[in-house]
Amino acid sequence: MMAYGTSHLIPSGEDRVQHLSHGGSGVRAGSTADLFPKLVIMQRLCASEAFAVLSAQAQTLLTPGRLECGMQSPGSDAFVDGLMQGHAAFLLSHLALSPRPVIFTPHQKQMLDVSPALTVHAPERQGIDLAFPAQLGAMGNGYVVFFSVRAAIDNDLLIDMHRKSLSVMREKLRLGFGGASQSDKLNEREIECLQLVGNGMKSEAIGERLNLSVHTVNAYLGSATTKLNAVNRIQAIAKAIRLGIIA
Amino acid sequence: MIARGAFIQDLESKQSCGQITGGMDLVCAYAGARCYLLARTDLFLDRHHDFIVTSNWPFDLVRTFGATLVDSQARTSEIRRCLQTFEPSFQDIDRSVGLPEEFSQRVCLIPYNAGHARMVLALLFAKDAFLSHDRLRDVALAAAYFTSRFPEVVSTNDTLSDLTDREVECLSWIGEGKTSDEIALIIGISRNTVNNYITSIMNKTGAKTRSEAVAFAVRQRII
Repeated sequence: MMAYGTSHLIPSGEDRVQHLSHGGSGVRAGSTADLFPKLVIMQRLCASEAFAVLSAQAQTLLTPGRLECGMQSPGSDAFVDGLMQGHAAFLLSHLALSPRPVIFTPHQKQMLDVSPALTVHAPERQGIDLAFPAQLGAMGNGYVVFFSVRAAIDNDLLIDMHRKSLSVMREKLRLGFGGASQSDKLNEREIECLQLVGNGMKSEAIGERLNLSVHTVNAYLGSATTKLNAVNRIQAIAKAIRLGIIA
Repeated sequence: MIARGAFIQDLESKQSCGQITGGMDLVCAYAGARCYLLARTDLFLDRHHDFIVTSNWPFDLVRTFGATLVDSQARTSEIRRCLQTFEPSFQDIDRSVGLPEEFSQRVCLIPYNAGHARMVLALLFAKDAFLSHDRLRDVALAAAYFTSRFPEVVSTNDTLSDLTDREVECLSWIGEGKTSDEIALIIGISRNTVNNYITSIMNKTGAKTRSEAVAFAVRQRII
């Protein structure tokens, strides 16, 4: 039986989320600490020694790809460090290419004959590690990893764990998103204009479509740009898409 | 009723024969569905790409309803889409679009990602079919595993690979709100060259304005 320090279960101030304006499910309070029990259940399910939730930042030309540990079970530091040192680059590239679970094993032989999982031979690992990729879209991507798994691995266990991992990652995104939501400050007209600019329309055309004067359209775009803390409307578009305010 | 483990195993062995339809038939059987439609939602936004991957829906229905369906998927906000990925949802089809009598009006939509590719699987059921939400969730992952083995289905689209590194670099800076003059200064080339790159980007992406080109690049996660 493993002990879980209570210190890990107390959310920090920024983890606490009051509401989410975009989730569509109304006001729901919660914190990422609520995910811990779920992860512990999964850990028992596969009889593993430790777990970690990794967040991935995809590589772009201006920013390198990054994988960082968002949550972990107590005493998992050595496991996480080892995995990051040896396999961070692989995990990042795998996430961008494939939804398949990854099995890291120190043994030579193939784990399963016919399986969706990818087996990676990792002689330096102490035991078998399972990594479940979650590629949700522009944000919330990463892995849920279980270290030193002792349960017998079969396809049924893999898909069950993967489903649970995805639900943890979605929930983590939902909880983490509410804090930084500028969208409630943008009004409907501003969002509408921004969306149409993103679709390639010029202010004149937008004015015609929405029955507004060009100046009004530009004023809406200007105020949206200010609210998004962008320097011009192009950056405002980029930010609004990344934040999920427009499609 | 086929068991989950066996279903996954069958699906794995199917892909060795290189036919995507065989796997989709298995998926349908497991979910208890009659017909499938598999589409790329990210290609749909980029104007008239061939976004439907494979389908055995009645042909007219694909024409009348398929595009609307994928459009509604493609146009939701990014955060909502992220939160709904791999989660089955249901939508009612209006009979007026020509849905044959034997089908249930409820169509099941399963959005999923295979690497960077964004897909949606739309399943049609017989009128009195029994729906298992649990199985539909299995299907979301199983379909993702399955399609990821077909590079021609999940590859990033051609427009992306057409852009040169320098063009992507310019586009990245434009997305950060820089003007042509500033970009020229940052990467140490002349302003006219920057503008040439931008013209070329707009030609390649088919964008009418810089804003649209940036929007396209952000959606495609190039920048």
